[in-house]
Amino acid sequence: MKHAELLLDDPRAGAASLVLPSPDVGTLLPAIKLRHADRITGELVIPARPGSYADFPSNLDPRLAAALQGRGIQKLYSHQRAAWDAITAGKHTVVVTPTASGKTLCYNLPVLQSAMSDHAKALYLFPTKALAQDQVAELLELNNAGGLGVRAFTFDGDTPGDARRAVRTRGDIVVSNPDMLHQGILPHHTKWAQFFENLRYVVIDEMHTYRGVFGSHMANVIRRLMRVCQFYGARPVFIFCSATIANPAELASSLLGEAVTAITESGAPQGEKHLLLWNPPVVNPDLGLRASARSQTTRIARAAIKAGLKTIIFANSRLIVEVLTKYLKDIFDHDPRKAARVAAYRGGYLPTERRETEGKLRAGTLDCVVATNALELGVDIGALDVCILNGYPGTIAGTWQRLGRAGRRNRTSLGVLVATSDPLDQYIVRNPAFFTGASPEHARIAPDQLLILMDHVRCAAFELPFTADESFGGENLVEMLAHLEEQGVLHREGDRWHWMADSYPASVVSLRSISDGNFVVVDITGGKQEVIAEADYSSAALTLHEGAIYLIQASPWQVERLDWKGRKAFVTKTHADYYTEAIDYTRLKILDRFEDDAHPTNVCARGEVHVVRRVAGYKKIRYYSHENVGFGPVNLPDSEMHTSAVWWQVSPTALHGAFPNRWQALDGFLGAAYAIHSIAGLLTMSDRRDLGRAIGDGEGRWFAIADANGRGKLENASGDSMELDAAKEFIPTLFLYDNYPGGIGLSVPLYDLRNEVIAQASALISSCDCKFGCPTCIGPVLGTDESLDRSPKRAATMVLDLLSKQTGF
Amino acid sequence: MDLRERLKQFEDKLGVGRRVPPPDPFEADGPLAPLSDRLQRLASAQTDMPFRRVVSQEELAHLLSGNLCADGVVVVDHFVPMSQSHGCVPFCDINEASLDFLAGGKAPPRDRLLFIDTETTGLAGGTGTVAFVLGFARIEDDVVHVRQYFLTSFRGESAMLSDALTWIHKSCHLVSFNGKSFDVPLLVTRYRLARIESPLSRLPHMDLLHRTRTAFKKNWPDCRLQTAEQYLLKLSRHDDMPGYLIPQIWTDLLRRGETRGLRGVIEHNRTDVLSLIALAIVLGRTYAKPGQRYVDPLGVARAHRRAGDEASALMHLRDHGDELVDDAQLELAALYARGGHWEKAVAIWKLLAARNVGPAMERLAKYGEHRQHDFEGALRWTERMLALGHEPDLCERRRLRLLSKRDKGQRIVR
Repeated sequence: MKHAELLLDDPRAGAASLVLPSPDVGTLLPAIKLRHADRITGELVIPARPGSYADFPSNLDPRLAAALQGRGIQKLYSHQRAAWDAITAGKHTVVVTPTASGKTLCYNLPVLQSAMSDHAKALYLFPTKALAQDQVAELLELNNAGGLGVRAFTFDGDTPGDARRAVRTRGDIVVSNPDMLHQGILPHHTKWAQFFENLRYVVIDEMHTYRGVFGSHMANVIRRLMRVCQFYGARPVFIFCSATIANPAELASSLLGEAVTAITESGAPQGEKHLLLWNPPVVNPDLGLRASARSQTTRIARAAIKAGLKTIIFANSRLIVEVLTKYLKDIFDHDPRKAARVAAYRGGYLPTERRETEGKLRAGTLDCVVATNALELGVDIGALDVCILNGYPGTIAGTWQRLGRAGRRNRTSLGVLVATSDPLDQYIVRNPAFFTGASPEHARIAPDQLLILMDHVRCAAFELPFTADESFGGENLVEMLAHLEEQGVLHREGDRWHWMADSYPASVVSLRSISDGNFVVVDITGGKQEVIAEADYSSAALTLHEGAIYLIQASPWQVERLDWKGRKAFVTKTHADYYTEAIDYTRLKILDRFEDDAHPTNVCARGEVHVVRRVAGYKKIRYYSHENVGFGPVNLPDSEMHTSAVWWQVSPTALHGAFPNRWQALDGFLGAAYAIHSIAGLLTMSDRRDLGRAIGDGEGRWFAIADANGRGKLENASGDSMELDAAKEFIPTLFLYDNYPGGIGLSVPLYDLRNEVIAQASALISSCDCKFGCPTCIGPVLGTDESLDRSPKRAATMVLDLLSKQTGF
Repeated sequence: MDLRERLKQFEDKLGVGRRVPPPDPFEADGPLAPLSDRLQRLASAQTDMPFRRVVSQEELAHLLSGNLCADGVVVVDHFVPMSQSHGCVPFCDINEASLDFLAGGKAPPRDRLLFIDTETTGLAGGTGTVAFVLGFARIEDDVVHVRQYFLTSFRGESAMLSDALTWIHKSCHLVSFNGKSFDVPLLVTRYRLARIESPLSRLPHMDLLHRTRTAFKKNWPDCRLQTAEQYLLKLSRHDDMPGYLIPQIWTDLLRRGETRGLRGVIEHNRTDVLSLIALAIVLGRTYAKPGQRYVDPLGVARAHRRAGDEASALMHLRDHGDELVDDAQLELAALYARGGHWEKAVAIWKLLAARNVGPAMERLAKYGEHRQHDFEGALRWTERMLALGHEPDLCERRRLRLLSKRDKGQRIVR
């Protein structure tokens, strides 16, 4: 809850606009629209909306009412009142209203009231530590305003040992995160006995972040929490808050395992909002190439900043954040004597640096911030005027949440979604209806995914012995326990299973998929040794390999040495006019076939696969021109996993009949895979990174990658180039795999949708305006394809035709 | 495919379920069990499932020379005359032992001391660790009474914990070795899980591990109980059960009815508990009288100073004179200075400064500047420190300050 939002009539805001009429989106917007009409594929105006209010509940504690009045609040928004009524009636509740609608008061009111009247306790869970710390500051302010005497503490990895006892015994409200609950609180629940005995509310904010793997783990942590609560005789009411998704009540109830009431009508007033959908102009009609989103974003941001508007830019990768920051700093921050007007903000910066940027944003001393989704969640940075999204964030919910960063109460705000050449981006900007209707997005979790479930059965058995009459998740508990008994982890005595291993199971279970330790970036310029940034394990191979240019606040650092085991990258300051992009590829081997759908020309199957990923090298790309100015090799260990996948194959005879040579067939498969991947992500509503794609022979003997010119290239198992005709048999296999060890349940819906995936991928390609293929349909195609009489687009269409044939020739 | 098959497949192909647990956080002082033993334990846990012998509780009680006190609990009582010695220490010395420092105040009457040690299923802590042996000792007139509870199954835990409350009562003063961070929190957790009220978390507690570390860490290879026994009690254990094997022995009993090693566990625990008494006696002496063997006088002196007893701190350092290491000499000088014996302090500092010991030169500079107003002398020490590269920033600031003080002084003189 940002402070300004709490105040229904903020006298400061009014006074400021009288004295100093600040610049307005109203002057920028018509100019942009006039100049770039051809680039705007859609405009959405959300009219200003007056607030809808309700009286304080009659049973609201007078001290609490006074505290609210002390902060200028005379009435509640209608949704805040609806939440109060549901929550105090003991119903599990999910509140889904836009960014900046006073969501936190929905849960703070009932929690504070019960803490004051009954000494009841509450547990708040936020996905990140930073959010938790903001929340406590906010609670303390309200508490102090009314002298309520309620004690709120954060409990996380940073809480010092000697303070922990006080938090456990004296805290009325404990603010923590799921990882801490999982590893620090539940396995030591006896230390929290007093807290659990009196636990009345559990608040889970930013619920929409609990999808996929993280959400599936979260549902199991909640199962364990409920088990422990039951031991202490508590039955807390759960309160969820979420950004807009299609199925909030469904997600909340699958996280909780019980019915949840949804409150979705916001009563908060809102200024007028404009959303422009922006497609960069086509620069090469033959190849279907558009100008880069980066150049467009920079241009719009420059106009906004010059018009005096506070601007935030969101980009989807840390690299793009740094590149955009450099472009804007080149324009606005070339004078080093003046304070910077542009800053970057992303994960990997040190916490102090991030806090400093947040402070400058709140104070209004920065004009522009370029951020990753690290700023999407509720970190308080005040309200801004213009929000530019460089690329579609991947979900409609994420788009709205980022756009919510712009918009103050009585002012018009502007959001611009700049499409990249990514097929999903292109699909979205050509279909503005996505933003007008109800959210199409269903957040899914798979709490009974066996790997995840077993992890938590272990943890739960450590916390309290299991009895035969219990259940845990959708699988047969007794069978799972028997399995753990065979492993020597549990001991059965009568109908109870006791933990009997000398280990602490929660310490080896991470709720976030990969947590093999962060890498630190160490600056060794001039012989010093200073940690200047952190990078997570998953991105280290891509951004910190030797030779990489690592960007921090748009300044380039060269990676001199990567200590993989020690999780350290040593960098020196450099002056490169290029940045680097890693080339990675994936090799798959089929281990087991669960089901298939075979026809004379093709087969689609689902099963288990072994995946090996390797970063093979990197490209050097010159700033501004984006030309490729060199390659370098990378030598890092492979990462391996077993997961489930769906794959497609065409019979060798049909393939031979359709294509004059193997090269063209391979091009067809690469192009078809690109289109199928885009469609599959859309149809299964999964994050793109949740699905991986690859082309190979299914035996791990060879695999195909697109080379620098976008043409198919074959490599053997050790990564050496291979002649296409050298392979004896040629059965190219197109894989889409679940990008999580053991699979997170995406392959089943994907297999069920297999015919639709192929049909829509064909439609995507045929409706594209390009001649030979482009990033929008089958992926980038460069070089002299026309002269060679070779059309990758036609080849991809051919492959899709072969894959859709349900009968023989 | 049924659940078991799917689980098997995960294990075979993903290697899950065979995760290696992190190293024991509590076993800071002891060496890890040899790899071969640990591997063997892993292997036996996986392969020995099918064979299971049934052992009756009565049989177990007999084996351990105890009685069945409730379903699942064997009680073993053992009485040792106070005239007997444990290693080289007679138990009766406990009556004259000076325990005030260990108790952090006036030591309680000897019959209120409760010596306590547990054997557990592991060292991981948290709610998943069980104490299956609970050993106590207390002084009853002219005997030491050792009481040990042994669980023959998980279901006996509640009865054991209830019965143990006849020993753990609110006037007890606990004595343990690492009990503050291990045994007591573990038992508090067990009582909570069994929903039994206990006074355990509120009892005063002498943890002998901390006092052993302070006094002997510098001169011993480690500070395990058995190391203390060798050095201080002259006790050598014969055929002792190694501590790291103990969890496995209980696991084998529950899983397979294997009784081998059980007597060894009980004897091991009994020796541990009795060692606590003897160790308390020797540690009491260590802190009361200077000049005991193996003692690091600096550690002991600092412990006394932190407890607010500068006289005792001084006593432990005074008579050693030149044998003391530099840090101890500095501590001694500081104690002299605090007591106003400046000449003794200065003598020590000068000796050390002659060997270019930085902190001694700094003390002399400070002494010159603030007490004697001998700015020239202070400057000489400061410049010498600068020349040697000790604390250059601090020294440079002091040098400038001293220069201005000296000049001011000279102006006044003029």
